[in-house]
Amino acid sequence: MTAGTGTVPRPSSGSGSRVPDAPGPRGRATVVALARVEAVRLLRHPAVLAALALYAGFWGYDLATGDAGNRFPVLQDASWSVHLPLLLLAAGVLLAANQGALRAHRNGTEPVYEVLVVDRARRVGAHLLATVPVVLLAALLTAARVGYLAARPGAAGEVRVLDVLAGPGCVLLAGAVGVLLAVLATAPAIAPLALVGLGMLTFAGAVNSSADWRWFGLVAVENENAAPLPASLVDRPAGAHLLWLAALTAVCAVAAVVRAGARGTGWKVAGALALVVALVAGFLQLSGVAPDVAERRTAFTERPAAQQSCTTRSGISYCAFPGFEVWTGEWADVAEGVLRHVPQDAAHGPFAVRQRIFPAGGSSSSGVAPPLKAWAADDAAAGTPGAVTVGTDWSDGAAGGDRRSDAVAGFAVQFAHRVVAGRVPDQPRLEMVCGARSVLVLWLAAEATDGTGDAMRSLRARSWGGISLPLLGSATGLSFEPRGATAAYELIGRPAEQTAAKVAEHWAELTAPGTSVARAAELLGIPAPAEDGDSAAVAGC
Amino acid sequence: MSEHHSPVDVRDVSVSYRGRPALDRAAFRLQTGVTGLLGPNGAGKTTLLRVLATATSPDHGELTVLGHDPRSPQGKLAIRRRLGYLPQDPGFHPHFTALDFIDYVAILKELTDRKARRAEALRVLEAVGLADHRGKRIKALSGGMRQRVALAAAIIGDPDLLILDEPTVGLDPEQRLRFRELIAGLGEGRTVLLSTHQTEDVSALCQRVIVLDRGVVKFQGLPSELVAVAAGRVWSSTERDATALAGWRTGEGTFRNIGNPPGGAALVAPTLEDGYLLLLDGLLTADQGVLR
Repeated sequence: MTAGTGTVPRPSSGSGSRVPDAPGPRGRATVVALARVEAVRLLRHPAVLAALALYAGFWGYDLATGDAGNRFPVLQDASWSVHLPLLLLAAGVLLAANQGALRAHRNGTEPVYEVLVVDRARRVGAHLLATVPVVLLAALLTAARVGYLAARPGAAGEVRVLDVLAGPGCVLLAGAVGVLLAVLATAPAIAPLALVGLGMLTFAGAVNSSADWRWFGLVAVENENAAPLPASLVDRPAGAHLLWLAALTAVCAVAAVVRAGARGTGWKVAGALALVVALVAGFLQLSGVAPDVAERRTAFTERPAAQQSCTTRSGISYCAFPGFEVWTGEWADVAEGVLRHVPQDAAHGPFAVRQRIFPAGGSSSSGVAPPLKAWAADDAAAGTPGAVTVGTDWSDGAAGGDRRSDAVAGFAVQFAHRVVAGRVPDQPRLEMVCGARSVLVLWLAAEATDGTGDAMRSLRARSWGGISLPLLGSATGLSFEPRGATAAYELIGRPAEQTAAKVAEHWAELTAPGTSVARAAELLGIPAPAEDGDSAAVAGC
Repeated sequence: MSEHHSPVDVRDVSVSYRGRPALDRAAFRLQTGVTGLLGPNGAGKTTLLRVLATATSPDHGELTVLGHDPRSPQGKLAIRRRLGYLPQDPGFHPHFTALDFIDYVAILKELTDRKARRAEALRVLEAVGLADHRGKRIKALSGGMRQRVALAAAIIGDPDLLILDEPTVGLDPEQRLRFRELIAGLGEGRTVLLSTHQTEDVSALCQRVIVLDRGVVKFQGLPSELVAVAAGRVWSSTERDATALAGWRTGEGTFRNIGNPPGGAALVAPTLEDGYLLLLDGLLTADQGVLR
């Protein structure tokens, strides 16, 4: 300490350490310097670190466990679903930005700061600017995540950049909200309460996934029961939503700076402009599905052949929508797996597989029948009569979740049914598969590949009584006699080759419509399932 | 520096809070060096300091600080660029290190060049004797060290005017001694206004002194002049003198009395505190030192 000498050294002239005394504010450089310091503190805040750790933890866990659930991502859906873990980061940033902006008040340094050169408005500006690096980090994480998903061998569809950008946009908005709340109220409970409110809004939007107002929230999710649509049919107002988020951020930022003491026409103009843009963007979000997209959806739904490219493998034609061609190999593995256990001369070929969509499926109106006649006409015109339907979901067995798992099981069963019965479902309701056919179809489907076996076991675990597999979430599809399902799953647990030999030996009888489940059990060497008149009657067999 | 170019020129400045005057037509000039501001609680010291520090605007009167009018935005900015202010309760960010806190304050003083700012932060920490503690979090520092951090924050950027509001409150004698030495050093070449309750601090440090009471400047001048107003009005006695305006037993067992001494009283040399007490009791007019 130099106090003992009684002198305090003054800085040498020209050292640059004296407060510059030239007239006029040097706002920008100061705000940037302050923002740099605040950004580091924001990034080190426990709430942000915890959110980043959770984000990395979830992803790391997926990677460590092979990430089977994301082997077949549909990128246009992934473009918005990647936001969901970012909401954790947004919450952390809101809390951290709020606490950072409240620090001077909380620690009692305001009496010192209020007479320093940098006024409160510029300090608030620095806090706002300090959120930019964490937003860039969020963008980097999102880009890495989307890049990772796009690089998966089974990735289908295309990345929608505007949807992807909305995630980092949420983080930016959260930071601005955090700072604004700090300027408006000094109570530390305000930010957590706001977080709860935003969380409830997001949750409400998620459970009302068809409501237009959900776009006023941070992330507009889609109906999780609905299958993905080809990229050209997706009509999310991602641009308007991004603009909405950006304009809201600007409104919050300008409000915070003005409330902190900034004066001038520029701020008023900026605030008014941001408000107008927010209103316009908010309105644009609610414009609904564009007419041309609605027309395209109808065309893709009723006449898919014209939109698709087809490949042939082992004599079977596989037709996919643009972006989904990468999955034809997976479909072929299943189809060939089903045929592997079928006597060569017994299969009712030729076979074709056609990808279809049914946008009304999976919603609350799942009782709606698909356009079966239009599909039959389209198939006939395309030279692929009786094409087996495959959807826009796919998975590695049960790992991708119930919807994707059932898509795998559904295709395997549809194809097996086509092989066994020689036709595809053509009734606007669930068609009952009875007797030996129910046993055989389910067994063929389960033994086609490891993935279909996994998916069928998953389906069984979630089923009560018989097995039902609606087609694309519609009213049509296949349903299986409960006793037949019981017998089939008994078989699934046994060595496939032994069963396959018996199937080949008794193929004609097993595929005959009148052969009972008990007879099938006898032919296949398993105990006959117990008689259950009630369930048979219910099943309609 | 001539009187026309005083760093601080206060002319009939008044401030009231909800109709209650906190400063009443205060007028004085500050020169280079350390000026002590004495006054009891509620005298208006902090209000006066806040006016000079541009935190509070006066209701009436004229004011020039470092050649600028603090009531204009440009003047306020110009003053703040050359001002160091240590409020009574400065506050700290407990999770910051001493260096980070000073660095942060330096940014708020518009020192934007990172290297120069860091060097300046180290310089002021060195000046207050905390260079070895720069990496410690403030919450881990003692009260005296924290006060030194606050002083370092006030002197960063080499201000021309330093306003210190009771910086020695709560410090132990050794720390107070160090602070005195430090403030004395700071007074070389710049204007320091030191608000304090401690007359010893003023005696030890200040070239000039201002006494404020109930918003009114009761005295301004040299410390020796404040001492002089009590000349002949302090005496010693073996028992408490009933005629004394104030009296107290000293460590030697005798009584020290102030007021109008009786005939034959054993007069003793007055101190600055004696003059201050006489002023506060309203016994003397502001500058003549004449008993009412």
